[in-house]
Amino acid sequence: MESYYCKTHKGQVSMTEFAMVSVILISLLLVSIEFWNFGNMKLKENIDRETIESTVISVSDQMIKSGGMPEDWYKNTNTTVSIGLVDYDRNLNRDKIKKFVNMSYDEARNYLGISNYNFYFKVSSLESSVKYQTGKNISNPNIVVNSRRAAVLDNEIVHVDVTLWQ
Amino acid sequence: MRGLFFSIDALFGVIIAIILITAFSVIMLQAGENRTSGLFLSKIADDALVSLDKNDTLDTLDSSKINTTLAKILPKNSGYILDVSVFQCNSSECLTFSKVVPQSFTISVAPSTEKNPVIAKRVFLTFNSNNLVDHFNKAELKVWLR
Repeated sequence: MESYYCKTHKGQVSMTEFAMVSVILISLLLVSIEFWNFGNMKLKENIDRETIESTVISVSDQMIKSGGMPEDWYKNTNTTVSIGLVDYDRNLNRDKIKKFVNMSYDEARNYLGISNYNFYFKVSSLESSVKYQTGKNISNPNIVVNSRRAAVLDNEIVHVDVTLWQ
Repeated sequence: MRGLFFSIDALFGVIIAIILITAFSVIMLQAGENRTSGLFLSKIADDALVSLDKNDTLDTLDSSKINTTLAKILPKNSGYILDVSVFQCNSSECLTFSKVVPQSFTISVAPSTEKNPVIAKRVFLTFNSNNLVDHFNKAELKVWLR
């Protein structure tokens, strides 16, 4: 009798144990999948952000450190390969800025090599008065990255803002 | 033997759980890191020194004027230390230099908050009224985010 009793309960314990283990395993699996998806999403966001950040750094470098190609691109945009806004390192050329801000939005994006992004560009004094600006105002962005650099325009230090967003 | 078997089973479970948690934590930490913030700041520090030099503010060696302009260039949430060392030739051949202590200066803003600073350096000349080189100068700017 005693041995029959034990056998019956032994089977019940195994079934209960199996059910508990199954619940725990399934829960762990679901949590792991959630973690995995969340981690992947964060990683993708981070890669997108780093890509746009490195792009904004190279675009702002190109603007305030390079004269463009050819150097006198602003005189004839038919031969323009790339845009730069300085005569020499950090010394902005007013004619180049004027030509750039008067370009069409898509033309400017193509010359800067940022067709995948929207951009806003601004030159302002250190007291925040805007001297030149072009591009689109930011609306419904997923990622926005701004780069504020300093350069010299007619012997006055100015801020050069380049904002990219998607 | 049965007890030992369950103990090993549990141990395996715990080890696997620890490995999974560690792997997820590492992925999360890597995802949260911003690796370009230091690069941004070093570009800003370099721009500041170059611009101050190019518009001749640095050449004045006027610490008050330099600090006023520098505060407008750098982000408002930054701290910085600017160290300007002024040197002059010891002889007409100019083979050796000595530091001109009275004209050298240091500007510090929020030095107690210094954390992961970036450093920009620039060497520049100052000229006398006859357009001859008066002093050889070195500016070192340390910037960090507060």
